[in-house]
Amino acid sequence: MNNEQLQLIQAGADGELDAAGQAELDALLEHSAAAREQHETLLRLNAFLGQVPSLDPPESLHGRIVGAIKLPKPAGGGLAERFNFMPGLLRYGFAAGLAVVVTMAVYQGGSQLNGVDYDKLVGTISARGAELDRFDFSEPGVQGSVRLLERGDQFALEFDLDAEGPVRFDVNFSQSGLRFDAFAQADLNLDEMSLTKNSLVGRTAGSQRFVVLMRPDASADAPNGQISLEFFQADASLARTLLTTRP
Amino acid sequence: MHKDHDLALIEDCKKGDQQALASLVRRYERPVYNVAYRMLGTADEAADVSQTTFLKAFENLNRYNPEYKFFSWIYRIAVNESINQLNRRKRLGELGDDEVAPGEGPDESVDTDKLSVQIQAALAALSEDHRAVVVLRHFSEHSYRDIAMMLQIPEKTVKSRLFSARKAMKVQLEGKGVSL
Repeated sequence: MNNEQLQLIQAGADGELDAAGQAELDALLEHSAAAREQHETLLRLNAFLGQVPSLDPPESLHGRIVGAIKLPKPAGGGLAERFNFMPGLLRYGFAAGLAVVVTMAVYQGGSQLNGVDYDKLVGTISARGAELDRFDFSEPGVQGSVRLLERGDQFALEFDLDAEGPVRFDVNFSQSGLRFDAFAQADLNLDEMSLTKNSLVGRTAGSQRFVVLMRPDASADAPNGQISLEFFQADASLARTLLTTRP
Repeated sequence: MHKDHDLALIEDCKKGDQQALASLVRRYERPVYNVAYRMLGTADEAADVSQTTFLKAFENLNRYNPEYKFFSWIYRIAVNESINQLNRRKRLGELGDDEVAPGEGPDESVDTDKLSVQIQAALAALSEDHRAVVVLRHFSEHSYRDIAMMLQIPEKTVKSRLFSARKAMKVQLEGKGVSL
């Protein structure tokens, strides 16, 4: 057999031939025992190699990769600047911005989040409401709880974390039908925070209490009411859950 | 393979969207890891190369040409990084000439499987260029055309390398008692 015929046989065994090529191969196989043997050997080799299963990457790999990649910041460096691009906050204008500042100031004053009267704290942009869902977790060195609250068309995720070492948290509400509205925290010491319209990623350590305020997103496509949360330590997933706005 | 969705995620990544980054990584971490593992034969090195692959891809995201498939680009980086790691290994001489360290890392249970060990040993006996085409063809199931694009070589070179590589693998496997 010449090289062209060998390439034809290989392409046939790999399913790379068009109709004309396949017809050419069929004719060759019909008339050449050597071609048939070569073709069958290739098919057996392909089948043998095809028995090897795909490997699962180590569980920590995803966290390692995502944690190592630094994306450009969505907006300016400071927390206040990051708020500036948020449509929800823009809608409220100066008054809402001021409310967030007030919220932070009060939290910085040492209020216990779970005892906070949101009506007094954040006025027009948030309200204490009914608990829709809740997630509590406790792992060695890390404990936390997250409550999903609702009043009217306003929603809040209330975080209370206590970690011995750095913990990263990913919040994604892209499927929930909600959009980011504002953020308030008790102690301004998050190591990192990245906000988008439908997600929040942060890194912190020690005791942290903060609230993510959300509003319905009229542009959401087929929302399912679910907010995903995941916590990582040393790039390994510690805990994950879905909170839902629907009973 | 999700070209339009990939492009949308890449654009979101450029705007700093961490969720888009997580989605893109989630989509390709497994195939990239498998390519690296089959090129290198050890779980630890495959994980390191996978991480480096994504890092390099995102560091150079602004240089990515959206006319080409994202997966072609990231696979090319994965193969090149794997070859770089093989060269580093050779220079260090810690594991010998492409010698596989079996059963290392979290995939030990998988790799102790006789079949997988036989195939990994046969792969290790190939040159890097030949190994790359076999891995992309058999373990990532890419077409000749995609492989040519990933490795930036003519399609006919893909075919000839595949042919030579398979011939060598057959000899290797038969030498280990596999009947083909």
